[in-house]
Amino acid sequence: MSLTNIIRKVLPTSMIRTVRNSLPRQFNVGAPVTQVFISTDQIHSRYSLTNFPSFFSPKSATTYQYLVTLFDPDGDTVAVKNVNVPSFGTLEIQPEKLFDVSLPEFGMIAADIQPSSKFHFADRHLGVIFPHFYAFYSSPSFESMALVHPQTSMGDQPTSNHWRSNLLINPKNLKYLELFQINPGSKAWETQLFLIDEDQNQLQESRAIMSPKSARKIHWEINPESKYLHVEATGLTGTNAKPLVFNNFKNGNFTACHS
Amino acid sequence: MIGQFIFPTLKTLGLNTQAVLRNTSRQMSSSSNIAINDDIKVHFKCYAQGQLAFESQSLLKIPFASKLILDESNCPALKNDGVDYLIQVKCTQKDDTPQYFPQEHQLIYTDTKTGIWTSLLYDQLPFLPPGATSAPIVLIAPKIWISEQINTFVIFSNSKDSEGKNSTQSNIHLDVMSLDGKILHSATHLEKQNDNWIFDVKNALKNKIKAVHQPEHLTVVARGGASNYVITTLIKNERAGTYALEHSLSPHYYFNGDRTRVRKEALDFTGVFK
Repeated sequence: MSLTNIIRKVLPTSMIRTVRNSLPRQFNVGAPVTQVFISTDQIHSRYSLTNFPSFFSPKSATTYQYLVTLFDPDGDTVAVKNVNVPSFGTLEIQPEKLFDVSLPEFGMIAADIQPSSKFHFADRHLGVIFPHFYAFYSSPSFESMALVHPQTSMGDQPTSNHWRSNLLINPKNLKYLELFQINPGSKAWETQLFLIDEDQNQLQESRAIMSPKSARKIHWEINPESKYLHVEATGLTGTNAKPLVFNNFKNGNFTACHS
Repeated sequence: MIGQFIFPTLKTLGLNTQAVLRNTSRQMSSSSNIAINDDIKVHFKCYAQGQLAFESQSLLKIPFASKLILDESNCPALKNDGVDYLIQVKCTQKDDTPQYFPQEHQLIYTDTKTGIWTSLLYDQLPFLPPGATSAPIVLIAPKIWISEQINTFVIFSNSKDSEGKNSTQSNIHLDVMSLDGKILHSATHLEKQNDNWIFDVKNALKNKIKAVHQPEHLTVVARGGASNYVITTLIKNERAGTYALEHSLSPHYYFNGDRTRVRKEALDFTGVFK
């Protein structure tokens, strides 16, 4: 059991923050942050890992290290790699170049962070730090692109609530939707996604029991004559684990955004 | 309860703008987000170069569980006149008390030539109490890509409370940085209230780096200002007329510690980062 988890178990909640703030930085880091990974003929993924603590605490800037883990659609670990990011620096990673293994077509990627020094105390006023990182998806020629901020962290708690996306999708000019869903949590979870039109007609439905750290892809053909569409779900795998929606146009281009 | 949704038009970048204003409950995991089944009343103001150009003349309403699309049919600033505006939409629910209520709305930008659109959801902002001053921004935007075909625009849209009791203005200092932390370009922008600052990364670097076929990844860091900001990043393939769009993550996403100290240290850091 890690020191961080021992502290969580032994100490009352009111004391955890004080104690963690007095320990070296690596004991005061939030859960690894997660994003969707895609590697197909149409969609490539790259991720931006930045040394954000150095910008927020420039006087104590130091090299930080990210631990990057890639999971396959079943939630099994494919590859793990440590990378250093210098003070005020950023690292762009492309999983095909970072990892020396055969990669799945899609999955979940997670980033953890810690200072390269084991005894880094200087930026403790930051409190807990959270390794948010952006995903940039593109076609091979960059004629289609999408930029997505993370929404989930490892260990997120699932919910059985019904959820309705505020994202309205205009089907005009679209051919199909692709949704990517990940389970960043530690337990298997049943989830159902629905495609609904403005008259509340259910046009599509997809149900799965998602293993921890797993990912799935849903392909929905759409009728461009439909009214505005939106996504609903019963059972999200994390509090903010909303599916990533790729809007695929008739001309072959795509855009994507969180729903 | 009130909130404000602010957004820029981007006609000068070849885009039409629509805003899909929503009246929905925030159905996340929190049980505290209980829906109030009331209409949202909408009043919008449109500013060009910081000057009020249009405002809504009739009261618009969004029934609960419904939407209101702002487009050229009901908002003059969204007509194709070649002028960019900052649009501030004031949403009121139940009564006009200054208490904030969260509500996501959606922006849709459509390329006028290709018809390809990109879209983004984000929450409306609170209004500041009269006389209060917004904390300066500390922006980290490690999401810049430029190449022969690709450009990135960082768009700072600010709304000063319409009460007009605070006229504080401030500079924003911006650095474009390479991945190894070197500053490639710096800019200082005098904040103009109720306006957009569209920072064109490729143009800023035109004499400093040569854009090549493979996109080069860069970071933009910005500090300063004294207003309510929505900061978006738009990546454009200038040849294909396609886009990627995302909002920024404010500092509290990255850490939960002493934000006042962090902001001060970041603002006071006068040396180059590296």
